[in-house]
Amino acid sequence: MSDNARMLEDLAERLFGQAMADPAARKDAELPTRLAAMAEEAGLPLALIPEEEGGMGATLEDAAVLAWRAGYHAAPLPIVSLILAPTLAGADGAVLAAPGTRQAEGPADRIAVVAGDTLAIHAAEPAFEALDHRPWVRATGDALATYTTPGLADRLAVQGACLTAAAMLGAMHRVSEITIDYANTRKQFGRPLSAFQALQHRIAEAVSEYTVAQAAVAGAIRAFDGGWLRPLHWQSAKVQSGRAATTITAAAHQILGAIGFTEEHELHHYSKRLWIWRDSWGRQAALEDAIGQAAIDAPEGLWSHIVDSKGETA
Amino acid sequence: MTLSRLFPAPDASPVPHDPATALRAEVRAFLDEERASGGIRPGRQGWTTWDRGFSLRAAQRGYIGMTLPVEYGGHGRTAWERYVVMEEMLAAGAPQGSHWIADRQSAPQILRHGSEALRRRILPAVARGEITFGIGMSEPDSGSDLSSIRTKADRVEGGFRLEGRKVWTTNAQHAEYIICLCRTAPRGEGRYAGLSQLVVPMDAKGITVRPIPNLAGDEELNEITFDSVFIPEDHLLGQGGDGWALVNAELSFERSGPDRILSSFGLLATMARLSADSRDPRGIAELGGLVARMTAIRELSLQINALLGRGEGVGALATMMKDIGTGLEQDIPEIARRLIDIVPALDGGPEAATLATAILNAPCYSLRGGTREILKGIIARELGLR
Repeated sequence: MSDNARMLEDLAERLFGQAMADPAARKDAELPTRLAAMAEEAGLPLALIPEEEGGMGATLEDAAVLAWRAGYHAAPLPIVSLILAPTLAGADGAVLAAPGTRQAEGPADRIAVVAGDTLAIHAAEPAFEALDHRPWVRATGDALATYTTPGLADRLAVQGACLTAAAMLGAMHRVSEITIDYANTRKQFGRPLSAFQALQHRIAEAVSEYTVAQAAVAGAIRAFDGGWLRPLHWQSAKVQSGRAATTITAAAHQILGAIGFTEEHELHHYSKRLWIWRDSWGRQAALEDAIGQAAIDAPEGLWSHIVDSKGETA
Repeated sequence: MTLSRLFPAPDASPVPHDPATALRAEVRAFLDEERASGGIRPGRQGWTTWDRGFSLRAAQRGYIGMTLPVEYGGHGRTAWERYVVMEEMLAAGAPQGSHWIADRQSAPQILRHGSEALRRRILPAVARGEITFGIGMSEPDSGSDLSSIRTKADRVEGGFRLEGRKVWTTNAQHAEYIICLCRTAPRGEGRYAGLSQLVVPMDAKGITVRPIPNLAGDEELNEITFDSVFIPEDHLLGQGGDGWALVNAELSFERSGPDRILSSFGLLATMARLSADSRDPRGIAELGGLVARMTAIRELSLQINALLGRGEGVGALATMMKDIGTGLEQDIPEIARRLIDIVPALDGGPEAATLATAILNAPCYSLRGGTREILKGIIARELGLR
């Protein structure tokens, strides 16, 4: 872990860890606004801004630590937009919609919509309440301003998918802890749940999927920073994160039983965000289609497509 | 509770990016030659398929014993270089049964725990591709419950006298040696005490081997009977009595390699080719899901390989990878049969044979090297659930 990453981890832990330490804090309707203001004040939006422009000059791997911590605490704020929007000229104060979409987690008065090389700022209107009861907004009316940057949508799609996947890893880590603790503590038939082999295996399977996701996300983010990332890497990492999220939330809810199905237990904060993130910044099924399409179009065949680096093929 | 943190990793040093382009090109040229000469029959063979000729030719190129030290006839290559060669060979469906087990686990086991005489005698021959090893673990009454084995080795002058039976030993009928887990002291309080590993020369007097056809009709599995077989003292691995620790170390070589992801790769490549022709959206979507999964699991395998290459512990990571990887290997034929309208037939055309081979071999992937249930138990213990 780099010095930047360590600093960002401390920053994020102070921010999210302290704000979310009291379970009652989530009942406070003002928490999201307060958290966003605290994040701003702590300098979180400066993470990906180059040092010469007064930012921290963090790599994507460094910045992903912020997303991981936000996921680990299920912090109610649009962490991906908070990290990425400040990298866009003109997007100040707007939430960022994933490329190709016109809606994003709010609340916000303005939304930045990206298509191809173009960033368009629109007024935002309330859209719907997401699974976790957070308000989403959508773009409305004509663009208030537009900005053109070559390769913009591609760059944001990759960074957004990687940061979302990192947040998912954080949330999955917490869900694993909650599930294992509960299995070791809750007794039925005079034994802790963890004494039942069927439940041991269910948890083992879920944590294994989470572990594969960790490896895939780590590989994709390092490849992005190193300059050798191919779409197959980040798309697979996001797909695997979605798959692991499905497996791990299903296992957690099965093991926590009725209490996990109530809002009295904290589990739902994590599972709901994981369910949303599976299809945010890269819809799982759409990415699978894209991976399949690229696989059949690969000129050198499937094996070369999987293992050879682009431009480095013999 | 130990939850592995691969990302963000507090103290991981970055793995240098090395696409190994030149090495891959070299191996692919060799594999092209083998396909052209009939040495590889795509879709009809696997990494257990025994072909001494193939192994001798692979050894001439330096592809066997790659990480063994040069002084023992090896090539002193890195763990990554060996990984690259292995996955290229697996993806091509090359018949590696003659050297696979020796290269993957027996030679490293002898290098670490064998006598100097044993190392000098066996390791150079392994690297020349001249030797097949078998895994002497399972017995008729001991599968997953490995510590219950009954094959015993009594001390006699100059060595041991081996008595008992091993079963489901891959390629034992061709093997020059097997590494045999046996009881050298009676089972006392501790079920894991009193076990040892012996390197058994298969030409020793008193050994009989009976091949057992598997689901695909191939005679790869065998039953071995030891009737008062003399094994010289210097064929003992380790100190004697530490066989349980040794066998677990040996199993760890078995669990994190590309052979736990790529056994059905030939069928996946066939699906890709057929989908390219049909442009069927459902086929493309299913293919995408499988390729995503293979890419993600391979990434875990690569990171485990890097950790092992640096001499770091991998905890339950290898166990997780084997469990998930073999699940993928079994999913591929299941998804393929729904997408490909071809009757699977071992003697049919290339696609029909590839599908048949994958279907008939799939059940063993979650058995060999530790059953799925044993693996999940190991993972659960690591997670603090047992």
